[in-house]
Amino acid sequence: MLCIIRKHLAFSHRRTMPTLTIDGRTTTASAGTTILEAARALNIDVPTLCWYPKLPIVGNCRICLVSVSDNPKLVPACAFHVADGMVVATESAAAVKNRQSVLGMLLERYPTEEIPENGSRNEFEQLVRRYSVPTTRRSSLPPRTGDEREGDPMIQHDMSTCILCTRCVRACSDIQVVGVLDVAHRGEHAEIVVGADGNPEHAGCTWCGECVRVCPTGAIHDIVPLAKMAANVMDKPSSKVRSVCPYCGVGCQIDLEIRGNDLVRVTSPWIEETTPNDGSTCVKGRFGLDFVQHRDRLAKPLIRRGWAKRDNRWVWDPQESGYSAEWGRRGGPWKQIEREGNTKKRRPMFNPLRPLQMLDAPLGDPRDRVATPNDWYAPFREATWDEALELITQQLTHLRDNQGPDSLACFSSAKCSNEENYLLQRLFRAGVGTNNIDHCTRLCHSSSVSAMQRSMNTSAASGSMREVEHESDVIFILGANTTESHPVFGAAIKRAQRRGAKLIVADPRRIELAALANIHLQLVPGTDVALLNGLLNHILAEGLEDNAFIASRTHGFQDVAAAVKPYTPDMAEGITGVPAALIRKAAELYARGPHSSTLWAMGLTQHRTGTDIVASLLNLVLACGKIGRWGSAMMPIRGQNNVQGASDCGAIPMVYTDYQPVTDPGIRHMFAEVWGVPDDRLSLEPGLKVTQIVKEGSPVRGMYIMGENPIISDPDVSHAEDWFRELEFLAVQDLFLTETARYADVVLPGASFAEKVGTYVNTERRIQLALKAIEPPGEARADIDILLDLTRRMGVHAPFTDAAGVMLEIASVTPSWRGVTHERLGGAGLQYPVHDETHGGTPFLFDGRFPTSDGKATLVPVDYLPAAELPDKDYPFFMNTGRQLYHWHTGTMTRRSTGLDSREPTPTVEISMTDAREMGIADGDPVRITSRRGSIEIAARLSPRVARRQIFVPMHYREACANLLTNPALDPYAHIPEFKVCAVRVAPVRAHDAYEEREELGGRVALSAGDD
Amino acid sequence: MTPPGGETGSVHSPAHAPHGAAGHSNEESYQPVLLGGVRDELNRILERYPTKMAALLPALWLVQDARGWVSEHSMAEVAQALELTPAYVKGVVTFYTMYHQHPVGRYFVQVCTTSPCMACGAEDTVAALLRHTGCGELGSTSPDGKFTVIEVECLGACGFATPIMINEEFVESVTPDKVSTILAQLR
Repeated sequence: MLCIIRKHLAFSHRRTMPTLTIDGRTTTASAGTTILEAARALNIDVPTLCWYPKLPIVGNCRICLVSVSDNPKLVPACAFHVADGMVVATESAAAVKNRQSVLGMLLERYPTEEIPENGSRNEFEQLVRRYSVPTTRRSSLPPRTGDEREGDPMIQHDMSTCILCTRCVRACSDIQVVGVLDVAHRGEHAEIVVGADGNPEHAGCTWCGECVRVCPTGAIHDIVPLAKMAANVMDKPSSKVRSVCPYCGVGCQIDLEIRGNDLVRVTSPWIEETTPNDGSTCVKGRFGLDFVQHRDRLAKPLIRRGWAKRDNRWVWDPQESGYSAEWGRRGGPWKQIEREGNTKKRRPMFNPLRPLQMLDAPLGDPRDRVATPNDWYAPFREATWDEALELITQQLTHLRDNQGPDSLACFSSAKCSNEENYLLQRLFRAGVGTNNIDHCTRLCHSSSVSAMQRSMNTSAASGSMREVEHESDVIFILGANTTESHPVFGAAIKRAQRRGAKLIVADPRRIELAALANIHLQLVPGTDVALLNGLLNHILAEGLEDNAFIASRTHGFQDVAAAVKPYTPDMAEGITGVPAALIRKAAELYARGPHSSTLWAMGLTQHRTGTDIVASLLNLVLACGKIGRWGSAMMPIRGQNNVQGASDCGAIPMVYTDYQPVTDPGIRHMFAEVWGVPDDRLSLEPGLKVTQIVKEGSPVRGMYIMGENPIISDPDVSHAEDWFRELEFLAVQDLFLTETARYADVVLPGASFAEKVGTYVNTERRIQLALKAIEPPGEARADIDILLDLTRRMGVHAPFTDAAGVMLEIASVTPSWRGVTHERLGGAGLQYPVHDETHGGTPFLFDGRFPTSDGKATLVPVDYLPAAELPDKDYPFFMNTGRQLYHWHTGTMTRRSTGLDSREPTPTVEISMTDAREMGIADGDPVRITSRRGSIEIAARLSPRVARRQIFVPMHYREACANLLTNPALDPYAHIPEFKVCAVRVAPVRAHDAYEEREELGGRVALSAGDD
Repeated sequence: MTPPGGETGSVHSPAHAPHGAAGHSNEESYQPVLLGGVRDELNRILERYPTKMAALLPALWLVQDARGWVSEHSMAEVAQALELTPAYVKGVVTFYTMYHQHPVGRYFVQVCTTSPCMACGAEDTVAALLRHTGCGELGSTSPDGKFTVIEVECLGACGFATPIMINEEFVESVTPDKVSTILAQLR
C-alpha cells in the first residue's frame, strides 16, 4: 500500500514539477510555469519588452524568444510553458540574432539621434546597448505618433519613442481597471490613443500614472521633463528613499526620488515587491506630493504680535509694536470662513487641460489662489525656537496650575506618525495631567470603534486588503466611495470583480463602484439601520444565517432576531426607498457568500446614529458568520494615513495605547512608572472628545494642536471658529499657516512626512516605516524633536533621541505591538498583533475566538432612528458631504499641489439633472446653498450620480466650506457629528450677481473657462 | 442614407463618467444616435450575441447607417452602450477601412482598380468619376456633399471590368463614357 502511494507521489511529482535545464542550470518548476518565470527564478535575465509582471501576457514584442531543444523554431519565453526534460538556451546565437533584428526594426521608427552616445536613457535603450545594435539605422518612415496630452499638468506623452509594447494599455485596463488607452489604426500607422477623441478626461482617466510606471521608453512620462534629468537616468538612478504615502489609509509604499534637497518625483516600488499597493499609486500619491516644497511652508516659528517678554516672563501687551487693536485678541486681517462662503466664485473650468503656459499666465502661479494669503502673516512675527517653546511651556503650565489640567486639551494628528502621537499624548497625560486628547478619528471612525468595541472588543479591521482582492466571493461596500477616497484599494476591488467576485454597494449616490456593482442599494441618506435590519430579517426568514457560528461564537442573537422581526424587506423599502426585491437579492447574495467581505467608511459612521448603524452591520456580519475566516474580512476603511495608528497609540481621550482604559488604576500605574511620574499625575477621568472640546461652555481654555485644521473640518464651523477665537491660549504645530493656525498665539513649523522618520498604520493594521528623504525647510524641525523638547521643558523625563527609541517604549507598553521595532519594519512592515520579537504579524483576526473575556462576540439589537434633521418645506434637500478624488480633507496639502488643484480648482456641488432643470440651473452656474446654520455660494455640477432632492458638497474648500452648513448633532456613544445628513435649500444666484467680474481681476486674463 | 448631422466639435460627455472634473455635461451638444428606432435595432442585435462586446461591429454599422460616418462622439456612445472603453472602440473603428471616420458624400462610390480592371481602363473610369462628381481627388467629398469616390481592391467582378459600388449598389462594366449617365440618375 505504502509503495503504491509512493509510486503515485513520484508520478505526480514528475507530472506537476517538470525538471528542465536553462543555460546549463537544472531546475524544477511547477507545471504551467513559463520559461521566463523559471529563468527569472534562477536570476537569468531574459530580455523583455511587452512582458511585465502581473500584466496579461501578449507575447507580441518577440524579444524574449529563446532556443529550446527539439524545437526547430525559437519560442517566446514569456508565453511558453516549461516541460520535463526541456533544454533552454536563452542567449543562443539564433536568439541573439533575433533580438538584434527585433531591436533594429523598432529603432527604424525611433529617434535614435537622442540616444546618448554609448549610453541609454531607458529600458529599451538598455537592450539596444546590451545587444550592440547600431543606432545609426533609421528608415525613411516618420517617427511614430500617438495621442499627446498637451497641457496636461501631470502626465506627458512623447509618442515618437513609443515602441507599441502595449504595457500602458494593459496597466490601465488590468491593474487600474480604467481603460483609457488602446491601440488604434493598423500596420505602420498603429499608435496608442487616449479614449476616442484624445481627451483623457472623456475617457475616464484618473491620472493615477500607472501608464507612466510601466512605460519602457518614457513615451509616457510624468511632468518632470526628461530634459531636466541627467542623461543615463535609468542607468544610474538618483537617490531614492522608500516612504509611505501621506494621504489615505491604504498605506501605499512609494519611492521618493531626490536631487539635492528636492523631492523631484515619486516612483513606484517594483511590482513584485510585497507592498500593500503592489507599487501602484493614485493621482494624489504620485502627483500630489509637491506640497512638501510649496513656498507657503513655514520655515520659522511664529509668535502673535502682542506677546512680549518682560522681566523674564511672557505677557500679553496690546501696546506691543505691530499689534493692531482692530484684530482683537486673536484675530487678523482676513475673512472668516463664514464670509468666505458667501463670496462670489470663479466659474469652474470645464476642460482643465490647457497648454502649460497656463502656469505663467498673467495671474501668476495658479497656486496663489489657494495658498496662504500674505496678510495672514501680518499678526505674527518670526521668533526663535527658544522663544516659541518657552512661551508655550509658560502658558501650558500657567493654565494647568491656575485653572486645572482639564482646562487644557490637545488635538493630535492622524497625519503624524505613531511616535509623534504617542509623545503628544504622553506629554499631555504626564506633563499636564489631562486626558483631553483627541484627533480627527472622532470625526471619522469613532462610531465604528465604539460599535466594534462593544460587540467584539476590537478597534480595527479583521482582515487584509489582499484577501478582499483575491479571496472574497462577495464584497459588500457601504458608504465608501473607494475609487475616489482610497483609489488603490478601489482598483483592487474592481480587479476582484473582474476575477468573479460579486459586488453589493449601499450608497445614496451612484458612485463608480455602485454603477459597476451587481446590486446597488441606493438608500435614502441616514436610513442604514432600516436597510441592514431588513437584510438580516430576510436572511433569517430564509434560514441563511450561520447557526453554528451564532451558537459557538456569539451572544445575544435572540434579542437581535426579535429586534429585526418588524423590518421585513417591504417595511425597509418604505423607509429606505430601496426596492424590497433588491433587498432580498442582496441579502441572499451576501449570506450565501460563501466568503463575503464587509467594507464600510464614513457613509455609515458620520451620523448621529453612527454607532447604531455600525452595530446593525456587525449583527449582519456575525449572524452570517462572515468574519474570522480568510476571505471574509470585516474592514472599516480608514481615511487618514495614520488614523488607525494615532488611535492605537493612545491619542484618544478614554484610553492609553492599545485601548487600555485610563480609568483602570493598575494600567495607570504601569504608565506612570514608564513615564517617570507619580500615579496621581495621570488622570483616571476619561477626557473630552473633539466635539466636546470645541463647544460653547466647554472647560477648555488652552489648546495645543498638532497637524489638524478644525476650522474647516468641524461641523457648524462658524461656531467652531468663534470658539477658537475665545481661547486663552492656542499653539499650533503645522506645515502651513492653516485656517486654524492663523488664530494661534504660537505657530511651530513642523516637518512633512518626507522630512522625518516615522511609522504609520494603514487600514489593515499594517505598521510601516517611512524614511527621511530631505531636510525640512529653514528652521522647521522634525515633529518628534519639537515634542521631545517640549516634553522636557514641561519637566517630564524623555529618554529618547529618535523615533526608533520612542517605538521601543511604545512596544513596551502596548501588548499587541510587543514585537515591533523599526529594524523589523523593512519591506511590507508588520500587521499587528505582533506578540514578540519573532512573531511575524497577523494578516487576519478572530479565527476561533474574539478578544473578549469569554471569546464570544455580542450582537446588539438596534432600532432605526431617522437623521436629526430631515428635509422639509423650507429646506427641501438632503445634503451629503465627502471627498473628491483630487482633493484631501481641508485642502491644506492638495490645494497646494499644482497638478491636483488644476484638476479641481473650484468648489462645486453635485446636483441632479432633474432638480437643476426644474430650477433653471445649468452646469457651472452659481448656486446658493443654505441650511439652518449657514450659507455658501458654490458652482453647480450637474451629475447623474446624485438622486433627486439630494446634493453632495465636497469638504475641501475654504471658500465654500461644507461645514458651515453641516449639523452638529452628535452620536450619543462616539460623539461623532452628523456630517452626512442635513437639510438645505438650493437656489440659483441671479445672473448679475454671479461670479467675479473681469474687472476685479484688474483686467487681466482670467484662468477660468468661463472667460473664453 | 442620411447626411451626417447633429455633431459639432469634439467635446462630449464622458462615456462612463467616473468622477472628478469629468462630470460636466454642458459642453457642446452632441445628439446621441442610439435613440428610438436605432436603439431598438441595437437591442435586437444584442439578443443575437453572447456578449455585448461581440455586437460591436454591427453596432458600428448601425451608427454609420444612421449618420453616414462614425464620429469620435459616436464611438464613445457605442462604448458606453456596450460597456467597452472609448479607446477600444476607436481601435476597432480605425482597424477596418469600411467604417468612415470622416463625413462622406451621400453617395459613396468605390471603384475597383485591381490588375484586371486596371488593364481594362479603370484609371480612366476613376478620372471620369472624379471629374463628373466634382470630387477632385480620391477620398474627398464633392462640394455639393453628394459624392465621395475611393479606389478599392478587387470587387470580385473581373469579368465585368470596371465594376463600381455606389453605396450598396453594384454597377458593372463602367467605362468613362457611361459615367455621366450613371451619375445623372443619382442627381
